[in-house]
Amino acid sequence: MTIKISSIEMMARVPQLPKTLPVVALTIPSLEERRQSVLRLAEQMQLGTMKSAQLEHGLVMASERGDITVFHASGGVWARNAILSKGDTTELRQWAGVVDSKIDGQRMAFAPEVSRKLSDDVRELLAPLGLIGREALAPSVQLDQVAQLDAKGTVVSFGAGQATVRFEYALGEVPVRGAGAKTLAFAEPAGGRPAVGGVFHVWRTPAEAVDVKIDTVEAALAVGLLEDPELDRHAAAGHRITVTKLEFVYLALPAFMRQSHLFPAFQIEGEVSEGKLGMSFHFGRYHHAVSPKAYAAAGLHGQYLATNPDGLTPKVPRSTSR
Amino acid sequence: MARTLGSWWIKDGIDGRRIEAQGFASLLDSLAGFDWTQDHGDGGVLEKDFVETANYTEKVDTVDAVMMSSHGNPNGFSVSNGSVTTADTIRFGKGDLEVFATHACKLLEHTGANPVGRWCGAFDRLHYMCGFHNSSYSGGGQNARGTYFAMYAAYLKAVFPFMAAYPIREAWKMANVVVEGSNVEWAYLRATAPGADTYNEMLTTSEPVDPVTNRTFWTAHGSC
Repeated sequence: MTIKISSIEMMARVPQLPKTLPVVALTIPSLEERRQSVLRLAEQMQLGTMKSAQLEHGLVMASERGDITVFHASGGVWARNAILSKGDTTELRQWAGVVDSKIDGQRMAFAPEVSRKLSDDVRELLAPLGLIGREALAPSVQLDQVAQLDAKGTVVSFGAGQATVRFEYALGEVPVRGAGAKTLAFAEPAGGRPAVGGVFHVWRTPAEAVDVKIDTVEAALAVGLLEDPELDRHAAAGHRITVTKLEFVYLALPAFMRQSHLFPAFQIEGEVSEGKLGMSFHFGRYHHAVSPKAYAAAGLHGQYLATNPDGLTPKVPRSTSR
Repeated sequence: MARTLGSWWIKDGIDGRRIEAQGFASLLDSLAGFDWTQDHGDGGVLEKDFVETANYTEKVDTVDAVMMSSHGNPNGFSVSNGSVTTADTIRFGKGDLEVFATHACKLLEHTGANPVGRWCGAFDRLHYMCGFHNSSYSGGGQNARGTYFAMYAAYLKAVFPFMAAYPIREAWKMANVVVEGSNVEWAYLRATAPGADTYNEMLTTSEPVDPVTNRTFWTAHGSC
């Protein structure tokens, strides 16, 4: 059984889909190509003399001052200075230029000129190292939101924590979403000015593209969302399904996964009402927007073009109850 | 004595939920000093294992750290026979539990309408509740969340002693940076007390001191 589109309460604007969309093959930098930039990043982040070890997901280089991982599957990089914030005793950070934005849930923010300066500094650090992709959008800066509560759970103080400078990506007019399309720099206030204490970068380089026919929105949603086993079960039991976010995007998979192509998908958020099967709940989902048949018709074959990723398979534990 | 681990998961047609929860316990189980003792899936995920029940020992409190994959909203998370909400009598940590981590959407939302203090009553001697301020995702490679949480919280340091260790709060953030898009917001709520400071607490093979007397709480959320 599949969900009927008419049974979904659509609170989000339904995106207009192009008639065709390039499905883009991806290339990843080799470890050798990354080596120089990673060593320079380690030097700039003052990570000291590092030892290295190969893990299944990547090459880990580490010292007691911090570490850098280069992910095998994507060339993605995770770098961290472990001692920059070592003297802190809580999550609160004393920043200059923080304002109360009054935005619910995101009250602490930098004044625009402080954000701009920090973004420029991060770009200056990462661009020469090749750790910002050409397709990056203008950066934004977000502060961790921190609060202290008393024993009864009442907020007694709040403020800003670590800052994140965030570069997201797009190909043409289509945003690229998912864990595999972002460049982040985590900054701490050190000696009165921001210092970068962490970098996460994953962006596989777009190469040749093949146009794939995109069907109507209804048909595109039928590829994944309308076949969603969990939503289907709840819809069949009479729960109301409300979609609050529906965006047509390219999906980039996490740094530890091999991805052959950047492919079109829907990024979806919504809510399932309380009902026969239980409480109301929220959901976030990525679903394919093009069928495996359409990819095959375009001569495209590759990992995850026909399936949703399934992740790791852990061993069976000693005691179970199912 | 080993630190014990638990995994609770409701697939609801998406096997990644099982992988997510078991991945956490499985990876740590491979280390000396950690032992995966509880694994409950689908119909085995019962309300009485989270909510205080007369003449019964909640299974969640027989372990030190839990990864749970089920649905959520700001006031509760789902179990196979109902839900566990802030209206229930929850006393996490009255036995052994120190870390409760979950994929449940918006469980730790902290806004004017839903201040996260609603969950403080669930802390008996619990140290950390790790979750999300907004919706977490499935379908885009999020299955490895538990594995990466375990990796940053304990595995890497155990395998490579020359590495700097990550506190629990940092490990949760890092795991979610790896598996989620940047629109998602990791979150946590922690209890702390004089003599039992949890800010830099790590998941090690030793039992930490519980925050009990003169306790306060800290919460944080930020971009993945």
